[in-house]
Amino acid sequence: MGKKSFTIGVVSYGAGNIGSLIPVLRGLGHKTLLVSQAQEFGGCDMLLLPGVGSAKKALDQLNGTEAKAGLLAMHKRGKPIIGVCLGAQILFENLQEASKGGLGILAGTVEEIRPAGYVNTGWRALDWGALKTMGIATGLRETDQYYFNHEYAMAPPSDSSLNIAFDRDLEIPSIVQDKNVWAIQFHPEKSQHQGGILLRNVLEIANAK
Amino acid sequence: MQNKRIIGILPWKEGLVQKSYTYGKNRPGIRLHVALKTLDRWQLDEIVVIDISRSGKLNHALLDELSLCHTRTPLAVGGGIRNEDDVDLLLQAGADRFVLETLLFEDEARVMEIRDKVGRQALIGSMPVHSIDPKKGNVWPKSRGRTGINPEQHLNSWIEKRLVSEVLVNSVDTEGTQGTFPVKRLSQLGANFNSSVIWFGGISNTEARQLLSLKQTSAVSFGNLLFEKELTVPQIREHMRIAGKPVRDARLT
Repeated sequence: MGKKSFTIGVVSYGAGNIGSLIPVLRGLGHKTLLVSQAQEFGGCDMLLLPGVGSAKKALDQLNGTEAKAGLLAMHKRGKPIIGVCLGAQILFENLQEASKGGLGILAGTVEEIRPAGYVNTGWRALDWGALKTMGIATGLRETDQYYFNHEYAMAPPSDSSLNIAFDRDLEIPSIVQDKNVWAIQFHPEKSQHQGGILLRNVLEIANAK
Repeated sequence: MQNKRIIGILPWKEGLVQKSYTYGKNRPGIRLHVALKTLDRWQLDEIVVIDISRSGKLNHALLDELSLCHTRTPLAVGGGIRNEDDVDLLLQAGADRFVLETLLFEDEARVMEIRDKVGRQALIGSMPVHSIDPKKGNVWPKSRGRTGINPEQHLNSWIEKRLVSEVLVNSVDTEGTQGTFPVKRLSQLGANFNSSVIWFGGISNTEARQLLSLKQTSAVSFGNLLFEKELTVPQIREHMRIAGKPVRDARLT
């Protein structure tokens, strides 16, 4: 795999749980930079897009900012982008919560989980699919579970070439990977020891591409 | 079947975690950040910190304590939350979810503002229940200045209106005394919903086994029991697994 220690830009746009993510990234031995201005993005090996709450509010805060421009520019340059929870959802083209759409980096939609009104809160095991061959499960047990807390779910196109890991109970797309873009629905930073290992693996795979 | 959660609840007051008995009597314990670091290692499914000082506002000393320990276990915090600014401060301090009580009874519009900011999944309603007449089986919420409310009605309303994703039902009378949670008396609460109720207040393994079988249960919570011994959480988890209850198989690290 690629180099072990990276400079990770954590996109700061007023809608992220930065307080939880940065300690975990630093604990993995990486340097973290809070990035929101255009000139701050260039020094990053990859970007992490956090997010909690409402997609509409998050996109309203992000649209028109240098943070959004910087994020899209980094994507165009082929730099890895990793979205977590709401940060993963707003990477998509269409969001049920936000009529103007998301960032459009990933094809597909984000829709309310069925049955209507259901909130997926709890710990779930994953089926890795093709991601396993990339090394995502290195150091992890088959029975390890990860913490989910969301009302809307990613719905990538079924005929796409995306690599997708699914939640074993609800079969909800839990990790969607397309080239250098990773959308992680659950909270690896709150999934204890196994969450840290998974995040380490994703960062290394993303950087190696 | 989806797993249900085992949650640890830390009442906090005057700078310290408290061993709490019916929320009226407390024995001070340790600093919150020390308790959080310890519980973070014990593989609980979630940790809930409740400021029980009843100050009516967010205590900034609590924020300071939270900031000393960023847990890798999901963390919910409640007590004194009154607006979006409070939620912002708690988010920055490392909280993931927020427990609301007063606002749900007094200002639903404010709850909706908070919900629109952090998402319904991040909100837990708190429903303290107090049996004022055990012989008659009446159960009413008890909190300062608020009596005679039908808990079932409020709980159902909070969930039907999608104000919160879960409700923490706290049996105030039995809180602090293991093995006294009134399962039969309270088990109708939330029965219309799936995976929406977190139970707390005097739960031992016996009550936990019964509660984990209810469809509305999303979690069972323990408080003072966590102070008893180092391996409480793994033992509870193992006990539930042997009993065939849907709990996560977690590893200590």
